[in-house]
Amino acid sequence: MQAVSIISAAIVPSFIVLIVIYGLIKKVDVYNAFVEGAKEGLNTAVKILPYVAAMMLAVGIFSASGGFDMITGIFEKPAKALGIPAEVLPLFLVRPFSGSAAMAVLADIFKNSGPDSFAGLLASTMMGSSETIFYTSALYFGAARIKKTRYAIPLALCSEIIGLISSVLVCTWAFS
Amino acid sequence: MINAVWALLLLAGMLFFFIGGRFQEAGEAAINSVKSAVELMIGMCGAYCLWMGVLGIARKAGLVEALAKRSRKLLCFLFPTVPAESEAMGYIALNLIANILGMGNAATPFGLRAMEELAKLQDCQGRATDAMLMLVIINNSAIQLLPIGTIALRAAFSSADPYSIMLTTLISTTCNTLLAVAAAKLIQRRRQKCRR
Repeated sequence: MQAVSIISAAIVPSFIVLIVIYGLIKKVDVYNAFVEGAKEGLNTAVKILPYVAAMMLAVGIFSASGGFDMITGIFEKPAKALGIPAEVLPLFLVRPFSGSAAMAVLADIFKNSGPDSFAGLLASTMMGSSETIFYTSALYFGAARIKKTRYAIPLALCSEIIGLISSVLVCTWAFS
Repeated sequence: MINAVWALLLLAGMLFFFIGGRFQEAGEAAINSVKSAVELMIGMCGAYCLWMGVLGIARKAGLVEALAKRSRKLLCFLFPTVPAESEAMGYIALNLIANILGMGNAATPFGLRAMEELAKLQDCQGRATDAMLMLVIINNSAIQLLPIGTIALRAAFSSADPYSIMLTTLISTTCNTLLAVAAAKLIQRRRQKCRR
């Protein structure tokens, strides 16, 4: 499996090298093209900042107030009845809101249950098959100045739940 | 929808603080979250400048359009309202490739650029178009081949086999993405029928 980590580490730098070489072959003024693009990147980042700040404000307040812990408490029993270890619930709840918070929760699960326990394996799978949907949506719709997001959030939430169910099914099949 | 979720999170959080009488903590949580948003974006600025810069070269070299042309079949199925050889389609292709390869912080700038192009393409007046929704939904369903962050964390906690979750993740995320795309397609097709 060493090869996998080498390949994954090589993807990003090779991508940059390939594009610069391709640009040179096509006789592009690569330096100025990069500067022009970077300028746009800066504009996008500035444009997005208020949206990110707003989303992180709400999520930050809710999580600091203990809101996530409370919801976990409510869902503990029904989850156990469905064969979902209670340990992974906080991850499921935090994941749609914050990637870094989800990583922290995942580390906590590894510390308490071990990365190779069923809860640890399930949590790892869940981490990879779900996204920070509120953050991503705020970012993407912010870039296009969209106010009416239609069915984006309901569908993303469904997909989050499907991610949980499929993770439980696949892990039960593979690991127990 | 984002409006309601945002207000609910903020007010519910504040309510919990107020019930506990933790007013100072509430104020600190508010200022700290916005501060960390700014810090995050300063870090992201670097990634944006790097990838938009590289993208600038790719665009001048005609690579974006070429990529759009190459992946026309799949992309036209997913985004029927976007012209096949438009710049928007090129950025969408780049976003999907970066996502699948797990180039996390490259996928976002490409995706945002695609959203900007889509907004230019169709005058939508603040209402998300079908193409925008499809792009957001795909990005929200976590397509990736290598969950690098999770593997690194497993290794850090001395797992016997940090990579053991690769296959389960791949299966689960593939199911998830396919179902999300299928659902979005169904909704969009039904809406088109209603229009006629």
